[in-house]
Amino acid sequence: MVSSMPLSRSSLLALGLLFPMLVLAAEPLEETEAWLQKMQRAAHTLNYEGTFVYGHDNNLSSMRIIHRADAQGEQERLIALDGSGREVVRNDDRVTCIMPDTQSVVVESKRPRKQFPPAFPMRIHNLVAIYRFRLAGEQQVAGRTTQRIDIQPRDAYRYGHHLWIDRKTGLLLKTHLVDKQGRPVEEFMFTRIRFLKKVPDEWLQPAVDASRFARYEARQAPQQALDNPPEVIIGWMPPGFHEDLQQMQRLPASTHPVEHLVYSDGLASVSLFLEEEVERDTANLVGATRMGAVNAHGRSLGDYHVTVVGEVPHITVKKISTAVKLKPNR
Amino acid sequence: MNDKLHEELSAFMDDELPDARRLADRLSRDPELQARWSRYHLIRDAMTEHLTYAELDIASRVRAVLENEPTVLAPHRWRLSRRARRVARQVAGLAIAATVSAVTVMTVQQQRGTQETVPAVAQVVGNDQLAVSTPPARVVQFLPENRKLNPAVRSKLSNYLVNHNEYSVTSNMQGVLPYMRIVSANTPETASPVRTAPRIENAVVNGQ
Repeated sequence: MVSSMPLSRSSLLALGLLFPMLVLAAEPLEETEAWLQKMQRAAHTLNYEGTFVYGHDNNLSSMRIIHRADAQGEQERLIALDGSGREVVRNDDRVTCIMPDTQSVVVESKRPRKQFPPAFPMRIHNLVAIYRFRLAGEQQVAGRTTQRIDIQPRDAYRYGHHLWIDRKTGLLLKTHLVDKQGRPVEEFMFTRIRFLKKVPDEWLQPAVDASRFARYEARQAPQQALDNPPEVIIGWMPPGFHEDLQQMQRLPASTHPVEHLVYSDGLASVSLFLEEEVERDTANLVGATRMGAVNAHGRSLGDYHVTVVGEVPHITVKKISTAVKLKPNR
Repeated sequence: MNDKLHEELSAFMDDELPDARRLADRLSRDPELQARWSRYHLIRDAMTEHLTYAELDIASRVRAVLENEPTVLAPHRWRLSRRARRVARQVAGLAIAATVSAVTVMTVQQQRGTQETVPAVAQVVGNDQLAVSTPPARVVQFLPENRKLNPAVRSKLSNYLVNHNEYSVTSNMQGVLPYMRIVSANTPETASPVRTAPRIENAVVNGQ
């Protein structure tokens, strides 16, 4: 009875102190979200030309990019500056890779997107439980002023992002995908960029005459279910991961159909591929490997082989992979 | 080039440099430093007799290198030889020398009992020789899990990756950037997110 008054007074005081802090915390979050949405829009709506470096595992490559977005859609051309003459030309969803070093052209058409990823533009309010978002001030990249945003995971099961977003246009000018210690696992940075009103058609034409190169066009294989689809139990996922997609598909590399499941926390994604293992297939990944930011882990699971792939740390793909089980009812 | 940098390079070679990233960055930009890096490896390999049979023919080049590297041999002699002893004791997989990678590939692939052992090793050794004579594009790999994969595994993984990228939030956030992985995938001895060459193999396989 005696203590109730001082208690409520102190809690009121605490609330009074806390409230402005909550408001202060909420505002940068909204600003952060606005930046990320602006960045997402900019990636698909601007005309620009520039040079960037891309690095992972101490591999560093330099490339030139030309991007055009107009009423006709989105087009872009990527040119390797390492002397190999490699180019990628994209016309909306049709991607052509020209590789003079192997005298070949690979053409690929993306499958139509079914509203994917579903949570984009991202609602970061759904992500604050698993990531910390921070407006990290203004910095110069390629001679332009950028807004830096740091996204730090709250556990070790995903990577963090440092993003440098052009303040004027919203284009992402630099990124670091970082591990828990803040070390970059993948880096991307424009060293020079020009925003343009118009991009001439000829800039989007490949410089290489590829007419004599071998041409490979990935066929759109009809989706085909596994004869006897396995029912799997996902034994473990990092907190906040939910199923985004489940589909059966026949991948070009595989002679048999593959079940593809995608899980995501709204920022990091993991794919789980399941295919029938006829005999011991030497093409299946056993154990772990990594390629820059991407980690993969594979293992045999009864008559199937499971491979987990994603831009997440090694421990995450390994834990997911080893926790997958087949339903015992068959 | 100053002594501190040499020290760092030497420590980096033994995977003992705490802030390796900074040096790696510099290494990736500085051709002179890259050349020195290659020579250090050659020297160490020569001293620890880590040279494989395929590299024995470059012994004369090693001698030439040693003659041109008085600064390394004079002040660093004790350092290097002490390290050399330790390196010799280490398991091959822990070392980062190019020769050791070749050995690792052989071991991994022999364990798997594939028929591709000979060409794969020849290829890797060939590339490493190239890296010795010219500034290497691939500077160093010190991530143990970034192991060599046989081409069939790599090929299948690439396809998984292309499919994964299509649904990856991270890829999407970056808009067009996932394609940079296609363009940059040009070092045959390292795994990278999207392999172009294996995809061609796939296309051939599927183009029946």
